[in-house]
Amino acid sequence: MVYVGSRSLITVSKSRFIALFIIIIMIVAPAALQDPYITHILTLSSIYAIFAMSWDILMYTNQLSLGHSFFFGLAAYLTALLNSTYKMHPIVSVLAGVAVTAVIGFGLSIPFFKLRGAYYALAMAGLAEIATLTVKAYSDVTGGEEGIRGITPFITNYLANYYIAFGVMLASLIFLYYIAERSRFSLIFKAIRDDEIAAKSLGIVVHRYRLLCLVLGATFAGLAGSIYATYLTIVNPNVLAIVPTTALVVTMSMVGGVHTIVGPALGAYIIIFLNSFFRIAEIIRLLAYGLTAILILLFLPGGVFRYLSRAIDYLIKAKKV
Amino acid sequence: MPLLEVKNISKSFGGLAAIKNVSFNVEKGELVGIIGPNGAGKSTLFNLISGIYHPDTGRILFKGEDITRMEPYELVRKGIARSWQIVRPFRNLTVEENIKVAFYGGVLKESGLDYNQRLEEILQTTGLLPYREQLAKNLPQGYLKRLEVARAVATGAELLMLDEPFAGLRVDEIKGLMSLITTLHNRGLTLLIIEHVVRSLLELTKRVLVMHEGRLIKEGTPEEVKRDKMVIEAYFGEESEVA
Repeated sequence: MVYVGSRSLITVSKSRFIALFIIIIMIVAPAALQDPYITHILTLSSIYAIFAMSWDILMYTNQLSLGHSFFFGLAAYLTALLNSTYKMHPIVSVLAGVAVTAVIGFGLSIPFFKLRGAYYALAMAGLAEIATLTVKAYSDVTGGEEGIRGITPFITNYLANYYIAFGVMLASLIFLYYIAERSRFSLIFKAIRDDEIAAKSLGIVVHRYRLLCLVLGATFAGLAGSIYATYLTIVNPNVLAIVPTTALVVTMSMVGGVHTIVGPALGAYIIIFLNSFFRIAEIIRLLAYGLTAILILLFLPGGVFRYLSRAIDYLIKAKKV
Repeated sequence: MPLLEVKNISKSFGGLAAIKNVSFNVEKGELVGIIGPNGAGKSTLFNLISGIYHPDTGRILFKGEDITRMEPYELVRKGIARSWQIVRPFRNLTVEENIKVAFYGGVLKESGLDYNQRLEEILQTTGLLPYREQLAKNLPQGYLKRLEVARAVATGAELLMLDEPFAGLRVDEIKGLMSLITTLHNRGLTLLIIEHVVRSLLELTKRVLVMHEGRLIKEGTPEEVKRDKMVIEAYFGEESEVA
């Protein structure tokens, strides 16, 4: 048997086939259904999937961020300002938002260089909190609590918007999955996660890989935030806030399965759909949504994706026997 | 020129002096043992040479270059690798993947050597070939110790520093590991070994350094060390223990 790491090539090719099948469904179904609401939910899920994957890539080198909304919200506000106030083209404002967020992510690696664990998590949370208070305070520029409205979207057609969001999500997923799971970085990330000191003692320049993950995390969170702003055409301080935005991305990743890239993306679809589904429950919506998320975490502790993968592997093996 | 020169290094933690003015050399191709009772400062000395800590005073030279303030990853690239007293495998990686991480971090990537060929050699030499696909967390202790050595070798180091390689092993496992260390030494590697299992270390090495309360109190052949009154008082208690 030929092996790739500890997985057989047969399993890998079957997984690819299943992934391709899901992608085709995701492309065909919205066009076939022609349902603006479901397509809107899928668009929003795709945007949050990029955001959730960006949080997960940080976790590959043990950078637990409780303030990841900082990057998402920062890019959303930058895009909104450039687009709405300075009348820049939506694509230019998105690219500028992403670029600035990436540079800020790089810059943050200097003061955050020595922070680990809870200290890192709290420092990031502090950053998000400061940013939230700042946009509320400078209402002349940021619109305060009301936020910024009147952002020009890429396109107004709801299906086209979905395909843009889904396409960017898919490209982000392939890129981040390759970096985190298939490139030579994959082994190094796992080694750092298992034992940072042992990795250092084998010559791994740990801070360089932490920086790489931080820049990737900031860039893709920025990408999600910028697309979010141009899609919804409005931003408010909530996009920067720990609750709801960071809390949401952490829940998505935990439900989907941390350290898998695909899991957090799947978690985003699950959480956004649950959130929308329980809208029919009116008053108990938040309670029902929260309880369902807790039940998933309790009974599928590694995240839905791991259990799904195991189930698919089991079915493939059972079929072979 | 000695491969490693440790010159008058001292290190304190708070008010406690862990290493006091220690000096010694290691020549290329030597196998040197360091022994001493608990709290003698052996592991701190290893941590200072491998860049985990930096000495308060003194200098450390490797092939004549001052490496006193270098970080662990820089030292690996200079050719110094270490193992740990309490093994630190990458538990969720396979044996093979553990070794590959060391390739990425070490000097081999610049040497143009074929990774796969080197991997096979290391797995063969260390006796880990049958376990190559096993996750490190499933390996028995004896093989985890071998994995520590395998990873250190995979960095392409010239100087291997092994921190209590025999600790926690059964007699047969110790013999197997001693044979592995001898093989590596015969292939030209320089080794510096801290050990509590004194009997095994004295069988392996021709030169021993003895530490006590942060100081180097004796340097000599195993026979000289075993006979030294100060060493017996500080470490052995009774001579019969090492006879």
